[in-house]
Amino acid sequence: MSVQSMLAAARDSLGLAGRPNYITRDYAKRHGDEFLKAAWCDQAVTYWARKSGNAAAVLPEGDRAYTVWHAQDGQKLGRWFKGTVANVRAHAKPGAIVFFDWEGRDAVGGVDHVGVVERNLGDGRVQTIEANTGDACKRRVRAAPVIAGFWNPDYSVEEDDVPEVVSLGAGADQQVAANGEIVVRWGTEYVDDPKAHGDGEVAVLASGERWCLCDALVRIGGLQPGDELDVSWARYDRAGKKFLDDAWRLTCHAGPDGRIEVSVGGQFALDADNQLRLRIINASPRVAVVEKATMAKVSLFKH
Amino acid sequence: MSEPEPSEADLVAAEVDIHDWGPTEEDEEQILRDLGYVLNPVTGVYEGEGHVDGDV
Repeated sequence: MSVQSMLAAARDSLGLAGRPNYITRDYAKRHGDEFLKAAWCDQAVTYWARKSGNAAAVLPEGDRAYTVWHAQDGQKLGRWFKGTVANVRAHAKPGAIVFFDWEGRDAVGGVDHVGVVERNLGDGRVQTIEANTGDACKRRVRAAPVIAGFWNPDYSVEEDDVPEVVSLGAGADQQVAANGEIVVRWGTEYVDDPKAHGDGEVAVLASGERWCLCDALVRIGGLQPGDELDVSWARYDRAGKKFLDDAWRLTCHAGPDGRIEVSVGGQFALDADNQLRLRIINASPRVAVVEKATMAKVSLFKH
Repeated sequence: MSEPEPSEADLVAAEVDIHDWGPTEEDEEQILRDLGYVLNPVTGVYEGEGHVDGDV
């Protein structure tokens, strides 16, 4: 989490050209395919910030592709400098997010383009790294007349290490056919990140690479004593079409009352290419009932 | 009825490639060379670590 890591991430993209590319694909994965071939200067700043662990400093309001909003984020923080010669000379530090207006205005609303300052040249100009400059990522030299303004992120800000917590409840009884299986449908959700739960209410979705701690309290009835049933936290592909693996699978047997009450936990990785589901595999010759009181808590840690 | 707020994708799309990405400083290439970067003729990109800060 430093200006050096931000600039290193930007340097890694030098020479990237055309679209879609890995930067627009990364943004589109989270925000929609319409970004695949969209202007990608700010998508790149977002990518570099996330890749380098500087999202908290550079993206205080979250991902940005629209430069005007990103400039306004700096204004809201009180960090905005208009692009005057004096300001550029005195305040444009390496790592500054610099916004351009080819019509020469110093107004946020006129911003056309964005880059990251690599060096302050001391004469009212900066040397930058910019994506989507001629549809490529290049080093450029820019002067105050085309700089609408800039802001210096606080690169000392640590990434938010508070996990995204998803609390799930089945909400309704769900039947599992004899010798059949289901994935638990979570009808009730309490979540920090509104995008963490989706896909027909069965999937937990991470927005990026996450270390995932899961704990489900599963309550199942309708069985005979000794009946066997498996409970599994399972990973599928992002679309939920293809089963990947059982990250944690536990075999259980019904007690004397024909019920199973079991805690199934696990720790494993999730990312933006997969999803997590809770499978119930019923090996008994009876219909089992996943009771509505079944619940789970999933904590997603950045790493 | 008021117009719906445009999405970020709409706003970005309105800007796609309607600009030629800015005026070039006349001495840009000389400055980049002076900073210690080396032109990759294949990509047109000035590459390398350059001089340390202040050593311009």
